[in-house]
Amino acid sequence: MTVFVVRRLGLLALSLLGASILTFALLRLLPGDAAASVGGITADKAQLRSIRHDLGLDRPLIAQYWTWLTEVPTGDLGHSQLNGSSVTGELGEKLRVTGPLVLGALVLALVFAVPLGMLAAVRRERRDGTAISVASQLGIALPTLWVGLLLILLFAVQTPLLPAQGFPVEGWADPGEASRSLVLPTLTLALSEGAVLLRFVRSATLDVLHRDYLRTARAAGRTRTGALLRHGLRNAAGPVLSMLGVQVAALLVGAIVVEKVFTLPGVGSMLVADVGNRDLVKVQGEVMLLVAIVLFVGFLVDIAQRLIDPRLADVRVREVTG
Amino acid sequence: MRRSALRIAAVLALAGPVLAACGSGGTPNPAADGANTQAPAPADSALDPNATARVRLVLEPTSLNLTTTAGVALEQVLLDNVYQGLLGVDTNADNKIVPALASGFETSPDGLTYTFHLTPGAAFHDGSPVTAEDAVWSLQQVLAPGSKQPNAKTLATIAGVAAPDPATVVITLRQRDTNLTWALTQRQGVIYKKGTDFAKLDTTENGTGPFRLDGWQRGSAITLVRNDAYKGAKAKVAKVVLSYIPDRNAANNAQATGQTDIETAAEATLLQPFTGNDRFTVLRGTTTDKYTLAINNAKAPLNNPAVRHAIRRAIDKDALIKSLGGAGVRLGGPIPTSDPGYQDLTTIDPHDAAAARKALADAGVGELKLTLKIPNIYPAAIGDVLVSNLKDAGIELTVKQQEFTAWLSEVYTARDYDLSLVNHAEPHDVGNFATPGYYFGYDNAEVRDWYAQAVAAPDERTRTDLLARIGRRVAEDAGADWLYQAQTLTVVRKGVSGAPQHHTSSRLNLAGIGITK
Amino acid sequence: MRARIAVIGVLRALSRDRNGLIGGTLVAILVGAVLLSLAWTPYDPTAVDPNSPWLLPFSDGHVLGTDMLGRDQFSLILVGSRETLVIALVSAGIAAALGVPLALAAALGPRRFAAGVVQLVDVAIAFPALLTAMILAAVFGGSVWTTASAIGVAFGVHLARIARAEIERVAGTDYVLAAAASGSSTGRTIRRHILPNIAPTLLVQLSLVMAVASLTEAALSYLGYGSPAPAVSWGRILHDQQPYISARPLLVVWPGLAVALTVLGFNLLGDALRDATDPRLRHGGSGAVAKADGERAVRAIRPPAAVAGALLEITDLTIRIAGRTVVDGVDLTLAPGERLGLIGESGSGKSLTALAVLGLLPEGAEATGSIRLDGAELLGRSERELARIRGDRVAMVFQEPLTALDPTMRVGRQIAEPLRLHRGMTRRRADEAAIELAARVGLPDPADLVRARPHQLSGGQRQRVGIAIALACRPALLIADEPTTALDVTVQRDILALLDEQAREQGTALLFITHDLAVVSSVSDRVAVLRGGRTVEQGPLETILHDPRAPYTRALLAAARATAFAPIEAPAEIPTDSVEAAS
Repeated sequence: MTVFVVRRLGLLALSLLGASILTFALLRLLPGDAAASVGGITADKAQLRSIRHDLGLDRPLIAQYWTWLTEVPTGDLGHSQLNGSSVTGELGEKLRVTGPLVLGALVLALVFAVPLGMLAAVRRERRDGTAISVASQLGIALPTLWVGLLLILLFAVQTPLLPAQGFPVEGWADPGEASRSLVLPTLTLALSEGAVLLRFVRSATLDVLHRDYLRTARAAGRTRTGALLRHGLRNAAGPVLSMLGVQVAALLVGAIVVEKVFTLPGVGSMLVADVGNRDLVKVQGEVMLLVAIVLFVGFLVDIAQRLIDPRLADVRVREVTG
Repeated sequence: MRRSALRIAAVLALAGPVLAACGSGGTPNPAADGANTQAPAPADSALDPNATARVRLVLEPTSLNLTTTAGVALEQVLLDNVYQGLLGVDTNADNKIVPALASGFETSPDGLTYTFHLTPGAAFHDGSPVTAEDAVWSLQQVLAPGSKQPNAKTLATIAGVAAPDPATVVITLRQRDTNLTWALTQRQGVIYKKGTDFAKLDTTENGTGPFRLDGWQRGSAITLVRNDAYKGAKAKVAKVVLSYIPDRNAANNAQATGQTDIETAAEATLLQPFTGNDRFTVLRGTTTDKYTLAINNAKAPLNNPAVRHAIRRAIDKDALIKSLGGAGVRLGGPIPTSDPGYQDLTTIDPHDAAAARKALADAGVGELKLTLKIPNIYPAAIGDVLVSNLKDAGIELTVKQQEFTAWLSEVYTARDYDLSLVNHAEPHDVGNFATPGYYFGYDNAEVRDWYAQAVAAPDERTRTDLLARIGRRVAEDAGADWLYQAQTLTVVRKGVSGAPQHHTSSRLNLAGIGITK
Repeated sequence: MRARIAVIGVLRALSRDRNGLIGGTLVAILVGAVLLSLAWTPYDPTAVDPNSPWLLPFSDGHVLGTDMLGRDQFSLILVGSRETLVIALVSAGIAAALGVPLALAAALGPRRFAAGVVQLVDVAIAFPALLTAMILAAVFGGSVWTTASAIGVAFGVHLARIARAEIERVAGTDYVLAAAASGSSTGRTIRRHILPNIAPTLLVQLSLVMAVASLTEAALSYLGYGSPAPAVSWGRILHDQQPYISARPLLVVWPGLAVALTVLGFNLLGDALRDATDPRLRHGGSGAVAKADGERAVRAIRPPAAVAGALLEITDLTIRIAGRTVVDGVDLTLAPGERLGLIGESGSGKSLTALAVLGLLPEGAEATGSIRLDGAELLGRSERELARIRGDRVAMVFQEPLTALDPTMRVGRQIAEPLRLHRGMTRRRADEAAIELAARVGLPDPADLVRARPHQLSGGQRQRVGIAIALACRPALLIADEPTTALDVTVQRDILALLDEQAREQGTALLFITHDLAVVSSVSDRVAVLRGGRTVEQGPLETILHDPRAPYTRALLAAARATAFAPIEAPAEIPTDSVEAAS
């Protein structure tokens, strides 16, 4: 296991390096740069040149990449090219919005998708199972922004129960108010992701439903449901877990849209704004954070899968004894 | 009549949004909405001095450093409120130049020497008094070679700045410059304490205005607090939270549900929740926002004036303004209504699709395919209208929406475009048409000459005449097209007084805002 | 060729499937809208009309009304379908063009190279697609192509991951290995054998790509990176109308509905494709065959008085699956401690009879008649009541030891399970008891072995675990369903000996199901012969072996003597009516 974890960590580092090259290179394709943002429509060409020089934009790309790369491992993602603020610091601030949003949506999605997905599989020939299936299909099909706008209309404007937009300026100083402003966004995000997750759970459950070991467990005295919970869940968890990395990626991307719909100051809206302003050092940091989260979740999933299903760990044993 | 219609709408709203839409049929007439004056401010004793005013703004600045970073978003927040120059602007009086850190000034008869007298008691936020030495130092930083101040060139006529005594600043010019006083009201005229490290302005602030910068939650809000040591008219609220809500609908929801007290730049087509509702007042204000359709004068076949005129004639500006909710007035030339030299030029190139089509044919341009580059911060509807209008004249228009930065590099700097749409919000910017290198690609020797004369004009009347002449010539040359001069709508919650009404996107003096107890 | 046959089969299956029908219809509507829009729209969709803004539906011939620019919404939606379809198709095309070669490289390429590709795919999956789309739109100007490229690339790497697993599976199958061994070139193997076999999976994934593409287009347009005028897309209509959701919600409803229905169409089609190509689901049929247990029709016919002292008494047991009678009036009796061999060919209904005793019939099976255990009727009991009996009074050992155990759980825990369920033992005590049980069924190093997981055991060891689970609570009746069939011949003997020994020791009655007479003779006191769901003959072992009365039994015996070891295949020449006559 230790060897596996170490090897897997090595791969993780390699992946991050690859991602950093990809990110850096892709962003340099963008037309316009931070100097244009700073200079606006009033700076003349000489001024733009001087701004470019001050920002180090006239240095060779390799050198720019190297500077950035050598800073990243120290936890320093650089500074904004427009206002000099620390990227790490600002990301930390923004994560206080995006973190609870994405985690909340993930938890909510799991809480609803796992039991409902199993139910939809077990009772797929019955009306309730079909209803859940149809609902999940609709949940996937509805555009996120549409759902968000509708929720705002219903629960913030027509019936003013929750804030229509924004996040308290004081942040989490008033946890109640901060949580209230995240209710609708979390719901919006959880709905679409939960619907996708539900399909995964349903198909994974369908897969284990006819396995012999469930019959063995029932023969040993479990009820159908009992066997499914005790043995089916563990075995269906593998495939569902393996989708979790992708799901987290989808949630983070979904957060970009949801944060815009609800005008939330999170990593997603920060990313969109910084791409627009060509504050590329910040964009690099943000993208790397998102990529790192997804890759890290993938890493955790791999480890978790081995813990759940040790067959993955010692294939050799099977070859010998099988 | 209106009341009962509203009541019906309200009842239906309870039955669900879809029904509400069916019930409130018909065309709203937002052009009629909006008051030109707001209720007089109540006596100070009726106001809550500890109140917080929450104001919706659209465009968040990327930096708080007026000395390095261009953009109207910085000026909107910082000028008048946090930082001041020798002179200021009264946006409620057609951008009249008013005293600020200087209580007054005299001009020498040859127009080459300006003597400013500092306002007694003016002080920086750190408590130190504003001295003539600070003013001289600040202006010298702008004038210094390699200055990063984006607007530095507007002060290029200054030969020297001196401080004969601690309360007097003398500016001498190389030549007459009628633009000088205006330039001094802008960011390049801001007075900083001598020795201020400009590199640190993003994090430290030592201005002179009625507010101090309290905090900036990036992506969300900027907070200002009252400067209690301010010697002039003190701010009427203790704190102002400027919330950046770019989305029009979200901003409307925020105002309607009480998340904000003042909504600037409200969408004209979305005023229903506020009009005829005594909980809100809608203010209609003037701006110098000129939605300018740049036509690349340097590129064939657009270098042919006949083609440019045809394009102008193809566009139905009245319909466009109506479609956008009526929050604008027609503008036939480069000079907006509140600027010197304004005259009504809308009779040049009146809308006539058939005439436009014919003119194109006459010019030998049959099938014309053009691309419009438009920053994605502007309503897509403008592009849609232009596509439709130009199609009627036989021009196939493709719209390319791009980020403002991409626009800056492709259109503004590289001049790689056919048509481009940008809101030129700055007042007093007709000089762009006298700058051959400008991205319009417009170059007319006479216009250049007139502009130089106007800048050096001995009196206001000569200057205004020359500017008017420039305006007419540029319009007659079809140097560009002006779709409309925008009006700005501000929604104010009941109980809030003194909300800025005019020119809110470039300057937003917050000191007058009061909130009733 | 093979691919074409596969596709035709899939299409046929689709038309029978409800999801496929709805999905197909929705997609057909989309395609219809595209074709219609090319030929005709009620109004010029891009023409603004300042004099008729915000018309309600059905006014002035505007079916869906007009927007604030006076544009006809129906025409816009109609024309917008083009963008959606093109983006969907181009995205899918790019995804396939990128994903399949990547997957082939990762699955079949040289080891190091393949590892590199896998790594690349992992990184690319983590890279947010929306950002790629934004960058492309910023570089080239938003258009169908930038949107489709970004989506295509993002899902191409997804596809690569899924297709790789599929290719590895296919490449490991016998016929592909055989093709490779017989000197077929790699290119040819891919073309002839691999691509046709992964085609169904690809189709499913591509339909999902199309669904996601339609949604992403909406999101991109909303963020301001979609296709601008004069192109019309649903995402942009949605974006343009969304500010007016409070005042004019209908204008937001149309494009939202259009996107939602299209995505639904692609997704349902994908689901139906998956069902049509999934052999597991194809067999069961996704129609209305199965009924869950609560609805299982159970008609317990009261038989004449119970035989005194019988442990198990099956009377007139009839089982129907999907209207077909598979067990037809079986009668069986088992005294305490008695060992009954139930013999018959596959499909004779012997396994179903056994499963009926435990209430483990597959979904959709209906059982009628009577099954009495200790004189109490089992048919019609609830799952909960049956669960209380299973593993306690009656236990079962299954045929397939490789799949009968939970692969993720230590075997000790699985042996301990009935003890914890029926004896209420604590985990620790049950674990200790599991070690004893493991020792009793002859597992080596029981203390260590209980900590192993099934895949670490040999087939024989796993079957011993299965027996340990069954014997844990010392059941009165042990049903063994061909417990040795899947095992090596040498191991078979040990397992039989173990079962025999344990049943005798504990006085457990044994119902031993097999098709092998040799096996039956070693563990039975009595034998019942089943054929076609009916009891052909029943009697003491000696009588059946030496004086069989039914022709079927005779044929069975003859076949067994002819091939001492070979499993007995059904002697097909015996007509059913002669069986009837004999019984």
